[in-house]
Amino acid sequence: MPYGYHGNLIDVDLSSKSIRIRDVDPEVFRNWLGGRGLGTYLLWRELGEKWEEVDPLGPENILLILTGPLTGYYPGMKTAVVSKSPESCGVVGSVLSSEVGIELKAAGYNGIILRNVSDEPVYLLVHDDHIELRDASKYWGKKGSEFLPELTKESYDVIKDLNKRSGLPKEPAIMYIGPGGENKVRFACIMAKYVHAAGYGGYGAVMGSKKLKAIVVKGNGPLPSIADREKFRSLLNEIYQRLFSATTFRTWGTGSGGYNVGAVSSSEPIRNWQEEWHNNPEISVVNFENRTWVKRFWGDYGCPITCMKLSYVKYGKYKGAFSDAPDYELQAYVGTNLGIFEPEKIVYLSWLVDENGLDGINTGNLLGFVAELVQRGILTKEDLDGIDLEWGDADAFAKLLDKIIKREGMGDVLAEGTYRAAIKLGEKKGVDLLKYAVQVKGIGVGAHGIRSKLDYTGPIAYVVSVQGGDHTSVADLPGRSPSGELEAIFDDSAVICSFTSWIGFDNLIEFTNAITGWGITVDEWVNKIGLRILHLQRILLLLGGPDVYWDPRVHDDNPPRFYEPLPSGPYKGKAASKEEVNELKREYYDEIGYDEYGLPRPDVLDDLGIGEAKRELERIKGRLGIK
Amino acid sequence: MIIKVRFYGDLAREIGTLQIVLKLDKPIAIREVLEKLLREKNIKFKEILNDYTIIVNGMSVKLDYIVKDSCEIKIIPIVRGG
Repeated sequence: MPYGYHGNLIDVDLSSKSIRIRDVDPEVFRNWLGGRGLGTYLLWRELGEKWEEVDPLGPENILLILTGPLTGYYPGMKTAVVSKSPESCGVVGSVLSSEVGIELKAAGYNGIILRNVSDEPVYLLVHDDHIELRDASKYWGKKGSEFLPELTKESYDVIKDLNKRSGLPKEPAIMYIGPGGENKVRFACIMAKYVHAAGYGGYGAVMGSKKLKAIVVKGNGPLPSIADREKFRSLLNEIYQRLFSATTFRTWGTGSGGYNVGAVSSSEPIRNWQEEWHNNPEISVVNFENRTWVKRFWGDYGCPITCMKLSYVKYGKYKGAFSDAPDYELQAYVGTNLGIFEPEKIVYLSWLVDENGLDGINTGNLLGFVAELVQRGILTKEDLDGIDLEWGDADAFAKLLDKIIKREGMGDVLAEGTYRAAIKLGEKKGVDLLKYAVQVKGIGVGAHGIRSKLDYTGPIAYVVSVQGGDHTSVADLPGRSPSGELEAIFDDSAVICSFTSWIGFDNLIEFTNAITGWGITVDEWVNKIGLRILHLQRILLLLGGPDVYWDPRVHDDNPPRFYEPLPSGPYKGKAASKEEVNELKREYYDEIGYDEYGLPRPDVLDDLGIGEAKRELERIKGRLGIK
Repeated sequence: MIIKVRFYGDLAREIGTLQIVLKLDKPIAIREVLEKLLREKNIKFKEILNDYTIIVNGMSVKLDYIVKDSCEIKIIPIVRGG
């Protein structure tokens, strides 16, 4: 068994209720690390032969909750969720801030495989070698704050009962879904601690499709042994000192983005990306600080950054709403993208999104898309079941959101997410609506535009990403370098937070070696391990199905909106250039090992040790008519 | 030797340009390059770099990294996403 791992996974069949512990070959960990990498490999092994037929929301899809080699050792805490995505129909590696990961390791496991569908709502309780499925009927249909305290108490009581002779353990870690996931809203997410979310991927819907309300974990054991304790100590000390130096980030979190990304960088989504510049100080982080902040430094397990801020509306119409806004993505997507700049309204909409277990980015992306259709007269009040939707009207957006969560009326179409809704509504209206859908491969683009060229997202950031519009997994040139997507894959596979991973990539590799004793190099990550994960994700993404398929000749592209000139601000007139995008895309294909069509090259697959994936490659070529 | 330095966000605004091409006599630590650059613009080195990550030829590096001919340096805010 490699250092840093237990070498096993809990395998749960929700239909038969059987639970077994499955050993994993140590070489698999060496080749795929954990989290996103391991998940991609396991999904390929289990579902690869029939990938196109597997409905992400059907019983045959499997949901993976995974740790990585750095879980529990590296500052901060993430837990990885991987599955066939109901958004992209590929694999999206998603992470959330939850101690489920470290509790799993302390309980003696590297992760959980969840398969099939339970007949009735259940939750999974893991406490060391005690693993059981428990009835969750009374929690089903409830929002985060409506059931989490009760579930915490119930499961904690069970755990305390199991520990009568070994002292009082701390509360368990819990990840769960809200009504959005239960109703299989495609952009539902898996939540933790009311406001943390594994957003991209739509895995709340997968969990809901399996009738699994929550996963509760408490471990009493030690973490696995590590290879080099001395090296580990010295690196950890250095990393902590470096991370502590990020004072501005600690003070404001990502909250300054709501104003700065618009006013300074001209790359913030405003009214469905019709603009990317504003100079509205109402959204300033200082207004959040003065009016809504109740907790300033929130960090999960061992995190020295503590970038999370907790907001609570104390007065007025939205009193009682709380969320981690001013997190930038939320500020932008349920704020500026909907024409909303007031902190209280942003906290209110964020709260609705969190309580119902939805991804704030894809929710705001969809709501902005609908509002633009209304603005253009394509959708009417009648189409929206009587809702008078206008930019800036938080109450109207909340009403529409409620319909989406319940899949009522128009909400049922919109619950399919921006891309699928654009196709369905476009067919109904006889209009091409994809030009208003700011998404890539079924995933709403993160709140970082490319037109001004002042943000970190380059012209092909989303175009060739194996996670579509995911702003945490953007591609860049040089392709084969530990930045851009190969860096994101490392973070998601080692399972660490990208906000604590900027300490020098060679340091991250050294840290990994101190834990595992593997002796991997930056070059090996870039040209073998990371690249292997990237290529396999690309293959599964292009297999797609059963309802959407991607053709890189068509879909390796930016949303049409990014080719429209910015209408305002200091970068007025700037737009993405098709020629530049095509040129950079070709360069990227070449560097990364794709052919001229954007398909992984067979010789590269062989070189990466995944030659068997040529079977899947042939199926993609057959569908696309490429020889 | 020639190197390129690319700026983003606030720093690009303060520097007043997206990219600077520098001529250097010899390979030197990135700390020296940036100290000089920021001093010229009257920007406090420590304050700025605490919240930025430095990417050289696609790899995040520490300040003692020695830049060589045709290196491309990107200074990216760590506040990206959320």
